[in-house]
Amino acid sequence: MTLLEIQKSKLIFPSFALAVLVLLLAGLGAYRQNGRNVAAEQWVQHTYKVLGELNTTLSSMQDVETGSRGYVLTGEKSYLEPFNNAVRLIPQEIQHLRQLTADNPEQQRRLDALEPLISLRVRTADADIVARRIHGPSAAEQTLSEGPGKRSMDAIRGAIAKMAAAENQLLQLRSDELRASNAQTLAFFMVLVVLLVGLLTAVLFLMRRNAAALQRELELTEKARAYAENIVDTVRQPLLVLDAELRVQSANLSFYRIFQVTPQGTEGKPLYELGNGQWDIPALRPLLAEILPQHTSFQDFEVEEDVPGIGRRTMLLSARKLFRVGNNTESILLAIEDITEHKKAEATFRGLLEAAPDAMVIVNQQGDIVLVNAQLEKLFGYGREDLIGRKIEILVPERFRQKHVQHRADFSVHPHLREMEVGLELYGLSKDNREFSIDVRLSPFETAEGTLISGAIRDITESKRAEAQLQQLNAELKERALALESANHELEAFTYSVSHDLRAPLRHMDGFSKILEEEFAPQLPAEGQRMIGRIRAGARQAGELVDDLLSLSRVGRTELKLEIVGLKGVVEGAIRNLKEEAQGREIEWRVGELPFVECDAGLIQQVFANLLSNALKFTRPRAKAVIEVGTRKQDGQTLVFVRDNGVGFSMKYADKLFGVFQRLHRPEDFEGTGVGLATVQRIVHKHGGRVWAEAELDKGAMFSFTLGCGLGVEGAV
Amino acid sequence: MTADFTREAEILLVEDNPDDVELTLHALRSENLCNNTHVARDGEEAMDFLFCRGAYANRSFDHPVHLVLLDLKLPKVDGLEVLRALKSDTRTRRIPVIILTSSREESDLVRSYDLGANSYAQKPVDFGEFRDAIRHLGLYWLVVNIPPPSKGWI
Repeated sequence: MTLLEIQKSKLIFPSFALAVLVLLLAGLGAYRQNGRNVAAEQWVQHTYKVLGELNTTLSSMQDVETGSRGYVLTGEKSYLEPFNNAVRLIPQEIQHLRQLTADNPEQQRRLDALEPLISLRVRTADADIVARRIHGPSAAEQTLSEGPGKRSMDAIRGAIAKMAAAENQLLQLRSDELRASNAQTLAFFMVLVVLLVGLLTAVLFLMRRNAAALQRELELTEKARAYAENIVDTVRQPLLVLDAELRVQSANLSFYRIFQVTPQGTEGKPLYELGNGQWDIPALRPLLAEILPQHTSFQDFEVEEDVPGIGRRTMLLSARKLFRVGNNTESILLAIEDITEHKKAEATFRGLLEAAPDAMVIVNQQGDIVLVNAQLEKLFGYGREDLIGRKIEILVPERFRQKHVQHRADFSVHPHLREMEVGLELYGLSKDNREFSIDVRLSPFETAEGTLISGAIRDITESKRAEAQLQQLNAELKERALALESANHELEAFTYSVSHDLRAPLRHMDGFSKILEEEFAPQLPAEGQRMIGRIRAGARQAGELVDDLLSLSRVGRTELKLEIVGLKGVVEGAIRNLKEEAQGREIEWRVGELPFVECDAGLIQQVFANLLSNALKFTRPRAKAVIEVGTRKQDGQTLVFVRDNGVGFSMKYADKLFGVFQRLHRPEDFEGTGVGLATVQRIVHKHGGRVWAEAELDKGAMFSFTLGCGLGVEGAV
Repeated sequence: MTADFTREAEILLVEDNPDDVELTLHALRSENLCNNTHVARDGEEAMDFLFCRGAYANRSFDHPVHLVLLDLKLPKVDGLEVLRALKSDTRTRRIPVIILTSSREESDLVRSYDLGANSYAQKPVDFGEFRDAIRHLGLYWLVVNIPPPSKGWI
């Protein structure tokens, strides 16, 4: 209905009320007019009564006249009877007239005038009758002839006629009045009728419009009802409408679908008899029977039931009393929410929560603790019943609480995953008032109850201590590394200068003993010459040692100069340098294809010089030495090996092989300084590689190495 | 050493260690190269000699030495300083300089060559080898090699 229509429909009642008022007015007018008419009628009746009474009086007087005259003339006594009657009645009649005209002084006056005339005539007549009786017929003649009686009678007639005329005049007057009044009334009624017709037409018009509007409204309502029904059917939540006796009036599609039942098996059945009676839940009965009537609704009543064909479900029941105005019946809307999955998810969630390695606490936006896990109980020493519903600040040391409330408020405005107060020291407070360092990770999550914040709390007292310890160790280590580095530098400087300074006297020893040997040999006995030889040998050996030490220290001190180097050329060069030592021996050099490698050429030359010189040295007892240099793939790495068929060594000493001054042979068997392999290892390590040896006593040795910085640039020289 | 320069020195040996001096001179002598060898015992003396100043003021740039055998580790002014001074002066820079040292340090090698050293030899521990080296050097620089033209040079 539009606003205009509503306004119009509001006119209906006042219009109708006006019409009723008009009708009432009409009734009142009619009543009043009727009163007037009745009064006029009474007056007419009254006038007729007066006129009748006047006639009766006149008639009586005529009886007096004729009676008395008849007797006088005849002497017949029968004439006396009407005379006597009339004489007896006349006073009454006059009395009657007086009463009737009591309201009219003029008529009273006329009556006053009439009355003596009548009584005179009666007396005269009486006197005539007496005279007749006494005097007989003669008297009568005299009487009659004289004629006084006749004149008196005429006067009476005249007086009565006057009175009758006055009465008639009055009647005429009243009739006119009545007519005028009737005409007025008629006009009044005509106006009212017109008004009434108008009003009723208006009412009719409005009512018709209203009826159309109502019709439209009805259609809309019908549509709305259909719409609502559609919604109800579309709602995923199963719904039941029950009547007051808890019989199912209707159910929505969800109900049929979820509980796998048909409308036939459901509608009209009592709730408690549905299915296998799963709705006949002891706790539900009082809710429906008692709580609902008093409170009109209840919500989220949790039940767990076996539903035939579906299994065990957990459901939330909510009900509301509905009152239908149309038929004044009450019905109950029962909404069923299947929360089985939700419950399972919740159980999973709780399981996860309990299984979490950290202490977990979940708070709502007001900071109330909603959930904690066993780890939290253990960490803080509270039972969960002590915590649920309390403010989270219970777990915060007193001095931080106020600040924490502020932090919490800030966080709920901008919730996000974060480490709580990164870089800030956080403390927890246990039930026994013990403070401890914690680490807290917060993450907000949305739930039906609003945003909740989960906090994972970890006691980091131990790790903090460990961290402090680690830091201390680190600092100490750094200090030591520094000390070591400077010691290393010192050592290298020392090695360098010692080697240098040692070299000179060794050179002098050798020089002078050589001169001694050459220039003074004839003066020396053989033993003396032999000893000079020993001096020179010692000096030379010490010189080699110093040279080796110098090159070892140089490896430590120099930066790598990387370039692409063909190893085959390097190996061949090293073999050439060994020509002198190889002289007079049968040696088979087997040099395979070797790769190009990114390395320091000078250093890698030293590696091969050392390895090949060793191979040459330790194959000395062999009639034929076989020295092989090759490359091999192992574990995806290319390695270079130098293999010989020399005396080898026992693998139990393999770990000593690369140590400085470590020797596995006696000097008289194989000379050496014990620095060569140490230098090799240092060079290989410097390249990020690895060097190792495999050998067997008397069955040869194989040294292998990789170069981390680029052994693998394949190719042959 | 005396200021007697009646016989012009052909070789200047700059060496602080008397043993080394004796052994070097012995080696030179045995190869018949040491007749005109002058020995400077430190860098300062070597510079005075080469630049004809101080005790050697009466020397003339007209008669430069034919060869300088220069040790690197020297008292007062070290060998590299001497080398730098020598090679940066037009009057002396043509004189061949052989670095004769116990060091085989790469840095010493590089710096010596950078400063214009003509040769670099390490003194071997073995005296025989040392003698061989001296012989080779002397033969090469004093016999094989043609020195730059100079008034005083034969």
